[in-house]
Amino acid sequence: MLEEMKRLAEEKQWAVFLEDYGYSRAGARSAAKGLVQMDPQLKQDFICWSQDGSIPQTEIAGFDIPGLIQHKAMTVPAAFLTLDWLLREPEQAKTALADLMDEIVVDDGLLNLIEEAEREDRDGPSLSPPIRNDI
Amino acid sequence: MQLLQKAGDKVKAILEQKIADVLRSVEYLRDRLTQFFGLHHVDEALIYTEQENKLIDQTVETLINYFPNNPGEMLLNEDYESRCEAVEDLASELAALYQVEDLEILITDSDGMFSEGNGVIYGFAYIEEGIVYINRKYLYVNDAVVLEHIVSTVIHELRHMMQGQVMTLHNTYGVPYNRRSAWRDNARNYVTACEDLEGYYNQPLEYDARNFANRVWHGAYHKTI
Repeated sequence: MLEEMKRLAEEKQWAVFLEDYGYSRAGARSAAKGLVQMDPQLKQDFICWSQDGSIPQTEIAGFDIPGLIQHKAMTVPAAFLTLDWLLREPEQAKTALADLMDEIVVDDGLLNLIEEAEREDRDGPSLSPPIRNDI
Repeated sequence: MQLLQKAGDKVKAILEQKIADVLRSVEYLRDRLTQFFGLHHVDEALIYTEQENKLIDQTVETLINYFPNNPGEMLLNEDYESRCEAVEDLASELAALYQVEDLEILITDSDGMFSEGNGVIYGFAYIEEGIVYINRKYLYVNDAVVLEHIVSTVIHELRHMMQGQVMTLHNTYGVPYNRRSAWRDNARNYVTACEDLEGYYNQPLEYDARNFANRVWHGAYHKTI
């Protein structure tokens, strides 16, 4: 229980740090989860970076942080997280790195439509207007 | 005669709307009953509906019509303009197949969209606006693998547009409530690749779009993309 609370507190701390760094809320929450569980050495290096901006020379499976930033347009935290993923699941991570990247743009308009649809799903569909007599 | 025609069209439109309403109500009841009785125990995220499977088969047919062999190898022999035309035509035909109305496909490399900072992005899906942007700089590249990826990007992005139709209930393709809800939740919490690659790669909307494109590629060329 105490461990879980400590983990959640650390996650929240990193999420705040990342949002201040410029991350979206969703990106910050996702990345914070990864940072909490990161390989201890990488985590230590990340903490150093967060304090003094130093980038480690660590290379994993042929990838390093400067390379990921330059060739994959990653942020520094994302590069650290990717090195951690390469340690844990090298084949999956390498497949993801080789795969195409895209982005769904989620704007307020789409979010509004989604909320309306979720309400309709919960409350049931509304009927269309009755047939008019002017035809 | 014209008045009769006009009246007939109006009646047809109203009837079509009524039928859509009834089908939607049936779907809603089905979802509520399914949830109440807990009928579906398997991970619905991995199972496509009959409508989706049919669309996959039709996509395979369409793709083979355009590219009987590996799309990358075929596009290698074309100039840039022909490549753009092929990509745009394929996208338009798929949009019609998926009943995604008024979709615009823009092949661009404008700084605002694909700057140096995110130049690795192949495409963007603006669901609400109904626009798919394809990074045109990759159509200049004389590499069969890259060109193959661009063609698969079209299917990937069109799948995102389908997801948008499902999430907003414009057209559900029979997708059940659990998956609709999971996709909506992901859209509210969408993670970009440059922020967290693992988070981006494994999130439901991206996992599904890749899976959809892979199903099509496997059907057409017996390989994954």
